Amino acid sequence: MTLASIAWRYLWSRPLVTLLTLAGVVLGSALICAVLTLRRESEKTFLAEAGLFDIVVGAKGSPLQLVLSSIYHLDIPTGNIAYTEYEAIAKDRQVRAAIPIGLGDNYRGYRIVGTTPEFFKLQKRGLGSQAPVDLFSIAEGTLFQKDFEAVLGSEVARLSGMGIGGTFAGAHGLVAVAGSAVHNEFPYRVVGVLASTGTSADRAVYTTLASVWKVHDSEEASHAALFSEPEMDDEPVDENFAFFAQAAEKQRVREVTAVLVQLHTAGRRLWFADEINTGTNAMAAIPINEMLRLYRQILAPMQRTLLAVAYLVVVVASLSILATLYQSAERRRRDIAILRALGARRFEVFALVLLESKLLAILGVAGGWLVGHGAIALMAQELRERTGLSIAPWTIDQSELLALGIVLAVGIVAGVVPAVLAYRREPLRDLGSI
Amino acid sequence: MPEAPSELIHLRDVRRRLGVSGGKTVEFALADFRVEPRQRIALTGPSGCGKSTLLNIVSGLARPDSGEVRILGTDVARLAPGTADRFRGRHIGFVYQSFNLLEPFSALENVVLGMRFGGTIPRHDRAPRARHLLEGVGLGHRLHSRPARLSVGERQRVAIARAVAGRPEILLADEPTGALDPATADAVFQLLLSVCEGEGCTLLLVTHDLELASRLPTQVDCRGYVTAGGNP
Repeated sequence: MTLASIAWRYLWSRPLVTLLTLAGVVLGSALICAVLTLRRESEKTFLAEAGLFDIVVGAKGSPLQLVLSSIYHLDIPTGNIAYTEYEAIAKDRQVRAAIPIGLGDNYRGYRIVGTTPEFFKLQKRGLGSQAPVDLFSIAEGTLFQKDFEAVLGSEVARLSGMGIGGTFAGAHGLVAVAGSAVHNEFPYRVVGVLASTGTSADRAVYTTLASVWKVHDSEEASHAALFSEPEMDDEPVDENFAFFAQAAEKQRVREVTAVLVQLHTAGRRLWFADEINTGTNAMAAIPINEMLRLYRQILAPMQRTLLAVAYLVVVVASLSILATLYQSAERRRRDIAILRALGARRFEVFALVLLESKLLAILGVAGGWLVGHGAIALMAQELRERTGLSIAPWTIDQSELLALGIVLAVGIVAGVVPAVLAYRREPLRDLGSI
Repeated sequence: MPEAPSELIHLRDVRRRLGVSGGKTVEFALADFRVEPRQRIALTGPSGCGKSTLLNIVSGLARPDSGEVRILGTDVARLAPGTADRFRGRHIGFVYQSFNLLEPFSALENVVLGMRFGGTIPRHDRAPRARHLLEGVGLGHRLHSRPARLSVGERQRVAIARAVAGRPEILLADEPTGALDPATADAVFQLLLSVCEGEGCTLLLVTHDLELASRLPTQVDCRGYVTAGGNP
């Protein structure tokens, strides 16, 4: 019978106390694992996606809002810019690719993004000497060729159950709201489904820019007619015609919501953004900078707070180990004295008590890792659907290993005090006689 | 070459301070105490006379303030603590009035634990030997029972099996029948003697029961071992 097996038996001789103590360590470790995994994976996904584009150009406003709305489909856009702004950017010699996007409607909460076929030719910059990698590929069907043909992101296709040939109508606005106007007069037909990319593109519906304009033109003309309807009785007929002509003219000033830009050289981001910001009416934002700022200013402190709470739980759990083993050692004075009488050395009873804390800590950390990552795995699908975050729940990195190592060490150290007490105790006092 | 000692146990000029009572120092003192191999000795005397202290000193659980405690020729009073623990595990077995079995472990495991720290029985022989001993004391059918599920008589039989499991030369028994009814006490006493005989142990048995003591070949009256005198 090894010391470890003796320690194991003692641990489970009081199952409820052991389980409760263990639960504390599991909870603390699980929290740490979950927070670290979420931080790592969200950083990886968010920042990787932000890094796909060097610059985003849109209407003046909040740069972060522009980035979130145009890349992540998470916020409302800052407004629109003239199509001519896009044309000017596309012609710039520093620009490798400039993709216009137009937003305005949604299908079941998934944004309908008007763009050009060039969007699907985007490539991710290779690291070092690596060749660029295609971002998108078609899983089924083809790309859109004509207006009101739609290509679905993989999540949209999966969750809507819509396949090639399916038709749908967009609803007004960027989020699904009950009662919002549905543009039944402009049905879309699904011609393709994108392969999963693990990015927000999985949660979008793509169509031609002109499709978005046409829906929008009709909408604005209706609004204009509705809210500025002239008094027919008093005004001459030709002035009514003039009103509609004016509205139609207004629509001919084409707009886009944003332009996603890849430069030939990423190092030119700052200069290029500066040129846009000072030389045009538009605003340029550098996605990676905005996302890093978001992380550092908002998410990082929140994550640090969560981590602090998790470590606090670990400390409480360790104190609980200490209390359990101390109480256990006190209750087991007689047993420890018997073991000494049977020939166990002081060091062996010290090791025995320490082994109990070690077993508790190992079980707690292993259980915590399983629970923490299991919870992330359960949430992964929902997170992906809601935010586009593609999380690999069962990965582990050095920071997590280090954190779990600290938990393990703290748990084991918690056993030192009761172990020392057992070490120092004279068996004679606890044996009664002999 | 030094001559091998004829005594298994030899205490000489042993003194141990036990505390203070009524303003006087209470002390255990024993000038000379010898036990030959395979002797069966009953230690008798009133409570507090020093019977248990004698056993504690022999076992090495209590160290004398002065004097020699030679067991098998080794002065255990001068051994380093860890070595003394191992020595005890190898050469001395215990039977207690209150059985002192380890509750989380079965009867079989308790007996195996009796061999765990002495190191006299190879690891792979421990379980078979424990089984053999338990069968020998009539508990072949209770091998896997926890102490709480055994009767007091059965518990003491497990304790006897555990005490001799490591093949100790010396068996120390402190009131081994004190917690048992007369019929069970008699059976346990017979078993103790029989196991002791079978294993070739020397027995030092503390008892208040003079009738029980008289059934052993040697009786030692411990009155006078503990005295109160002198200022603390």
